[in-house]
Amino acid sequence: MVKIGLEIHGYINTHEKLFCTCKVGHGLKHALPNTNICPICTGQPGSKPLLPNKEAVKKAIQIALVLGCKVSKKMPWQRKHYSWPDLPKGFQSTMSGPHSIPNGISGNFMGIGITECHLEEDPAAWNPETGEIDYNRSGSPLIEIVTDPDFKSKEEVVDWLRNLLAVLDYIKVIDRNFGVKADVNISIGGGKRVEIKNVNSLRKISDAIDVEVDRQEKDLPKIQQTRSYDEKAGTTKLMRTKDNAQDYRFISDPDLPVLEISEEWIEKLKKSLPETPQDKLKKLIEEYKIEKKYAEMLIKKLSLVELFEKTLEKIKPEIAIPWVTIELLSVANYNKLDVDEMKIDSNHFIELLEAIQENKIIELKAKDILRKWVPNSISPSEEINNSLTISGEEVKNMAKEVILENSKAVEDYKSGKTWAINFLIGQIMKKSNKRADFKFAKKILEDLLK
Amino acid sequence: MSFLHKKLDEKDKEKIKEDVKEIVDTFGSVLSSLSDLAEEGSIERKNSFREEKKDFNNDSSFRKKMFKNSKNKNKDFIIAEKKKW
Repeated sequence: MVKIGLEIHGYINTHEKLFCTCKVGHGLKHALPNTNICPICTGQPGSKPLLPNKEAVKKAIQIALVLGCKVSKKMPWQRKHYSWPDLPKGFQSTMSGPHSIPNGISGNFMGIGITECHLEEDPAAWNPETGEIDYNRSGSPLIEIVTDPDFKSKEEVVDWLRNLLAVLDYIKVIDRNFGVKADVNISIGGGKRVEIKNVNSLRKISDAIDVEVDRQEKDLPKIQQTRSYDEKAGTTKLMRTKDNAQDYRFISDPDLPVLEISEEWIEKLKKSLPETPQDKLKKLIEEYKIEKKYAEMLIKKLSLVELFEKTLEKIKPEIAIPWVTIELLSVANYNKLDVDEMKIDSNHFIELLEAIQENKIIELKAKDILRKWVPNSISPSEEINNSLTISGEEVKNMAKEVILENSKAVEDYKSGKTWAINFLIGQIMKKSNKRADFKFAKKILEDLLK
Repeated sequence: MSFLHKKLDEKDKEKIKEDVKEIVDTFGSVLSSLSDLAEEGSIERKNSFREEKKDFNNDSSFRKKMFKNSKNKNKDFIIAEKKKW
């Protein structure tokens, strides 16, 4: 039987680094290398850490709470020693290790046991090919979540991780732009545990499990090993065995005071947590009577489901659902944007949908307006006023004009080429500046061409 | 200029590496066997964290100093060891 456990690392969203006031920015995407640095995060001799960033501590507690962990109230910081170029101090300040008390312990998230979750600082970014070091990342707050070996398949792992990331996204505690990074522990019946280090996407995690399970089935591990996943070669490669396992020489950090958390603060944070995706799903299905497939689509993104819930205050679900799950998302996808990046003001969105609901404008016109909301929405009032749906009589007059002006299409239609009517409808839409009701225009044309 | 009294050959270097590893391993093993280590060295203060601010005022002269002091660099990067692990 396959047993899988995970050690997941996520970047906690803060403005400042964990032990200094440097701006948090992960890598080249955010800043020129080695610009958000100071003597503390580059480990200059004699430098001492500041007290830890309260925002990072707060978010670590929130994570522990959503994972159903018991939150620790008194935790000594630990020094984890190792000699790599990415670790300027020669040790990492962490809440992990044999003498530690992690921020959260003994949790359970969606049926998987959580051994612990703890706060720690990130090392620098080091390129082993070039030797280049970027200290911008050094000292940024990280959360590590360690699960029990409860997973039995790669599908279970990927599904669970998706849910975990959605929840962490909901409580706005991690920087999703930097994805997921995990160490994957795998063992199969009778064999020793193998740890695959630093697998950095859901797809790679799934592939690495496949490859490693296959390898272990052919050659049952007799000693504990640490391996790396080689995507190109489609294999895992031995890094070290238990015999030469790294000894991190953990000690309590004498430069940092014991982290003390009050019961009041924990309670306050517990109350302030938003609904989880599962809570939202239940609410959408049971309270708003939304079909499961749409509800599942909506809960993937907190901003999307929040916009939908706000929209429902004034708009019927049958109108709100396609406009949120299809039209809005397709505009975002077309512009290669995340829906959050579109900066949609819910009042603008509701105003647009109200105009559709009250038949003030046709859907085609509303889609035109929505397409202009990149990178942000603007009030649609003016465009709505200029695009009010024209009367049936006006459509009828336009249809007569179109018939007179397009004799070839009329002949085609009458000779059995029924699709020619679409051309005629298009001409009406053009004449009316997309203000004619499409279905009504079609019906009028059909009547006139009988 | 070398401060070493003896020029080390590869064998010497290898021996030193092994000795260092043994010392570190022994030290690590003693550390992990100390059951009350969590209490050792711990300090308690009234405040155990700080409020973060959003106005960053990095000392830009620090970057200049660090790059000036660095032996190996390439544009915006400090250069450390390459692919030795």
